[in-house]
Amino acid sequence: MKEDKRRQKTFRNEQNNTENKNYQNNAKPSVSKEVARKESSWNVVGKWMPAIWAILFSIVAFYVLVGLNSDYLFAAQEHSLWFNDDAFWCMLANKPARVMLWIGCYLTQFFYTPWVGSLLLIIIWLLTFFVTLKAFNIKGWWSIVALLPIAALLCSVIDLGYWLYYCKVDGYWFAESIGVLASVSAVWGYRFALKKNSWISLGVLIVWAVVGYVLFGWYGLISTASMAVVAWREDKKAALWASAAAVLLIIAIPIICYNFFAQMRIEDAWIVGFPLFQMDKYTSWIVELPFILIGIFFLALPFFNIEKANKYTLVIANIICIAAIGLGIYWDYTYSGDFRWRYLIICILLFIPIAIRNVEKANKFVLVIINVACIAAIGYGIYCAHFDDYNYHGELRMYRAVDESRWGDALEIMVDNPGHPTREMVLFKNLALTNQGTIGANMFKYDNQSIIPAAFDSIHVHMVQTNAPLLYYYYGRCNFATRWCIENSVEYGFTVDIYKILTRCALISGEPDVARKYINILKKTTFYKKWAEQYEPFVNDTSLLRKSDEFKNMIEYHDHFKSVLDGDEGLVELYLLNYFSNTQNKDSELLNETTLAFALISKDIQRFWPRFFLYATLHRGEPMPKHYQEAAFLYGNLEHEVDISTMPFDRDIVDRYASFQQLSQSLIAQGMTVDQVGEAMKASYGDTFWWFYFFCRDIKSY
Amino acid sequence: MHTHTLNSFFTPLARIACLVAIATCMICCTSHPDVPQSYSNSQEEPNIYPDYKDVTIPSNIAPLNFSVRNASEVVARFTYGAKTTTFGEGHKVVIDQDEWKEMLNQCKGKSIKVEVFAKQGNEWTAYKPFNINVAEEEIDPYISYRLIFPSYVAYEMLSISQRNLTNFDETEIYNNLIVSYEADGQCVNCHSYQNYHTNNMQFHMRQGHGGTMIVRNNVPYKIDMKTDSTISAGVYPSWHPTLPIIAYSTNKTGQSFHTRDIAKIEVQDTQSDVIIYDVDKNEIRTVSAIPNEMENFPFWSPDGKYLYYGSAYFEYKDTVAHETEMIQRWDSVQYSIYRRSFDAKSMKFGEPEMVYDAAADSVSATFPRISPDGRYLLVGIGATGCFHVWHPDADLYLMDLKTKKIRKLENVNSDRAESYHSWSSNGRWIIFISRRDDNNYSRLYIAYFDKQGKAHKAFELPQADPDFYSYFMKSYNIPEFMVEPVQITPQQFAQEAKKDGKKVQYVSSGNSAEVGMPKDDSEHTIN
Repeated sequence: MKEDKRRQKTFRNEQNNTENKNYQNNAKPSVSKEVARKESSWNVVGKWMPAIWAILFSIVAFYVLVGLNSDYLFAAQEHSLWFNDDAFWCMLANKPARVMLWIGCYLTQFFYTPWVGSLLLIIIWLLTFFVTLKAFNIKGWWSIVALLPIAALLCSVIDLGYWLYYCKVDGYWFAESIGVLASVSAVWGYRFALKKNSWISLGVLIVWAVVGYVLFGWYGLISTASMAVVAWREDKKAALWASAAAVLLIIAIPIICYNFFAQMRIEDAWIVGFPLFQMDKYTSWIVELPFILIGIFFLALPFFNIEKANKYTLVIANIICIAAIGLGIYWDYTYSGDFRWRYLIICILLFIPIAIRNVEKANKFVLVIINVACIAAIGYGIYCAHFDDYNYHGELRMYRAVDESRWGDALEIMVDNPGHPTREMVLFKNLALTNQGTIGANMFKYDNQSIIPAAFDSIHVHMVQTNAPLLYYYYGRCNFATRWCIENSVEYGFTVDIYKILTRCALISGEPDVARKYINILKKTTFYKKWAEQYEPFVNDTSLLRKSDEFKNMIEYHDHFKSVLDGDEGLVELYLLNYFSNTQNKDSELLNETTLAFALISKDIQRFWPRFFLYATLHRGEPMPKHYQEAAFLYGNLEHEVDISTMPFDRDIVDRYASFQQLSQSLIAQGMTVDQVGEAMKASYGDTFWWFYFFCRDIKSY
Repeated sequence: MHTHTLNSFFTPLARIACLVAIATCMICCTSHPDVPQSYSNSQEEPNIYPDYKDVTIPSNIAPLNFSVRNASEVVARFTYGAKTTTFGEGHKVVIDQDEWKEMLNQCKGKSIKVEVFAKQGNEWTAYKPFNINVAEEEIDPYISYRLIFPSYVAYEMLSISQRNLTNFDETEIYNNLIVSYEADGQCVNCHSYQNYHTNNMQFHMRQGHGGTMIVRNNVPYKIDMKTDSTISAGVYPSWHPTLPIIAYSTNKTGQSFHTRDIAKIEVQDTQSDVIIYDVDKNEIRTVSAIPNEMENFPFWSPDGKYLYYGSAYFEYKDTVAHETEMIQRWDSVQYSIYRRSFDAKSMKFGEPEMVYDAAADSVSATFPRISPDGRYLLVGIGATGCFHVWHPDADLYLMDLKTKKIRKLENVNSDRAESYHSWSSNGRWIIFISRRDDNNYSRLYIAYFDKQGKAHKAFELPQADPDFYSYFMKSYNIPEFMVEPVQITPQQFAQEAKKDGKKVQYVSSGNSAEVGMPKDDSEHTIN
């Protein structure tokens, strides 16, 4: 049977060949024209394919970056830093690739306006795409494969998630793209030199290996290796020297440079500049995967040289790529403890083109399939890589709103959140309500049930590393805010966000000299000069602080807490909860209300009553906020230690409590568990302190 | 290879562009701007940073570059003897190194007059001139210090660096990124040299690949000083001036945080003793471990016959854990200065002698440092505690050991923390850290100490870029003078650091001081 099929296939091929020859030699003019026209249009389309892919990719990338990730990109530039001074250069670690990181930091600033930064990034990617086509002589319909490296770069930008807070690569968002662009440009230059003279090309390889490593770290090494592969594809005579030189240089240069760059381990000398995502002793291979793939592309793309392709070299490419993919998946599985099947699919789809052994003889159908498969793979890869957790994006938007004291916006984001928020969001919500003066009336209107952040791999998100400095600042605990600003900067680098908080804390703490230092640094950034300048008057005249609306609440907190030795043990929420719910202050209405609100959150009856009575005294003649009434009515009925019979509760509170009790009793009588009762009552009573008290349990802070 | 040399070589785009303009820069450096033709005179002193007005400097120090705040342009005219020269680039005065050397050579024991002309808006102003006094005595050509972010608990990218004081060259002796990071990260601290020479030196590494790096006759190796008989591995070190012996404190240290006080951090010991380490025998012995005393900061007298140290009497009430009690009673810990005689032959120490009863004055004295001529004791004094770098009230005090009188050192203190002081080998210069700039970032200051025992106005360690400190985010600590640079490279140190440390042996000294010595093998980190 198989033999018959093979014979039929051979016969068909012979027939086709004969037909082709006939077309070439004896075909009728009209048929020949038709075929030529079809060929011509196919080739014309093929010629335009790079432009088509570039346009399509730009649109998709722009939509993904600006449409879906503006909040994240703005946060990215706030978690980065560049300023125009030698001191900034000194702040970067003394190791190779510092130039790449410096440029990365400079360009990351442009995410201040997300679409501008995105546009710049896309321009770099498009340049990379077109240079890749030139460097590896990829043409026409095959140009789709040159999209793969830049698609990997896009994935690397949007897949970070909570690594945003823990990423130690300065200027990460641009630095890697700059490294890739420089590398493909070098390969292009090498190939150009190779055509002219093999000795010149050898010189180019040697110079690039040194310069590339010093400026771009491992990208210099991987592109040097790529040059050697190109040499094998283009000029076998030159290849031997090129390979020998490449191997020698790749081994030797990092060792030599190790002696000149003091802040690098010898073990890391070959991967310096490769973005490592490590926390404690765990490595996140998932976010490193795009760069592993880019490394593979550098070695595999020379095999796509349209003029030089043959089946043997493509088989080699296959083996390299599949081995690398297998390794990536193995790492993924081993270290994250969860089989990421989606990456397996992506990897398989990405390398379909390589499975086609003969590039030149691939027919149109195959090429179309390859293009469709690549597009599907790229699209699915981007979809998978995109960290679209709604809480993550909600946190970023809330953080910005809180940072800018846009309390109403912060609360709107909380309302719009499609599921349970994180603790960070709940804390921001309470902070916003406090600053609006409505925490007693509204704090339980919002969802107070919370979940831990959706970190997708080994990272453990701690609030002290994400929002603690801002929270502490707004609660006037400037020493603690400063502490975590510095602790986080020591670990993960100084950022614009850190300097902004440090500046304000220094002002409130009465340290204008150090505030001036931070202001001067921010004034040297490209986009925070104005922000810094608006705080300069406070440095020159500290008395203005007390007249400022912006600092009013923080100063009031700061003035009224005791100066003692203390520590938060790395748990910001528990610290604030313990501190405020244990504090009592009759001199500050703001502090009193905060202590009362935190006493409600702590569900501590003993702490509640004195703060409640103090609140009533301080706000004599004013209506008692709803939640305080709810708590007083509940506690009064629960323990009967305080006589509430004379308290003027709102009629609505009394009636609602009665119905709350009635409903809960009846549901329990039906045999429901506490959780089931809570769920059943949430729609009607989820906005009350009573529901929070009985059913919002097991809150996990982090 | 020098760090700054590398920095300037591998600088980014702006610097690469600057490479093209190096010649122009050099021309700028050596060119001399004209003094403005018209200007108004002011009787005010110029607002220059760093403040080098009327300071006394050594004749071999690097140029005192400075900037003028709130000025767009500045010209400074230097008059030395019959000669004058001018410098000025924008708002900075950056002095050519060769010309500066010539100026200093001609002005030993004399003064350089500096007139500052600053442009604000379109107006030039000539400010009241000031002098830079050049002492005849030189300063040791090198210092070393630790560079660290003003950290609390976390540490990364910290180094022990050395600086050539005659120019702006700074190189790293060792940094903590060269061996490990993340969970295995190292803290590096407490470098010390024998009698200002670097062939015998030491520093500590904590946590990952922890141990003490000893350099003996320029050969580095690592030791493990933890024993069951001591509180901790060695902490604050002091090399005997002639013998291969290092005195150490052993400490159980913790940190807690001020909620509002701008001191921010309180570093406290709950236990501490003093030991010595015999480098050649690889043995440690207890020097002082008196119950209810916390001995700390050992320092040898220049003749090696006495070991000075601070000690605080603290009796735990034992109602709560010691760490908690120390936090609660943090402001009642006060160190006084003691010394014990040392017999090198028998390796025995005498009984403690009170040198300065600081506790009786209701203050706490730390870091005793004896001048090379043995006459003066320089100490840091604050209201309480042992870690004065975080205490804004901490100042330097000087005791004349002949008269036993102690006084606040004139001209060098500020209303912010002064600490980590050290004498130059000729005793004419004192280097110390001060937080006077902004209360948060420690900077190095140098003061002339004349033969009459008087200190002169201190000047900030000069930098090539006078605005350097405005943006530099690390603190300097533990400055130590050296007469030569450390020759061993960070890479060589790293190679040794990765090895297991040679375990030291504890030997009972038979001193009565060992009685009641507490035992605790927990890990300690000093910032």
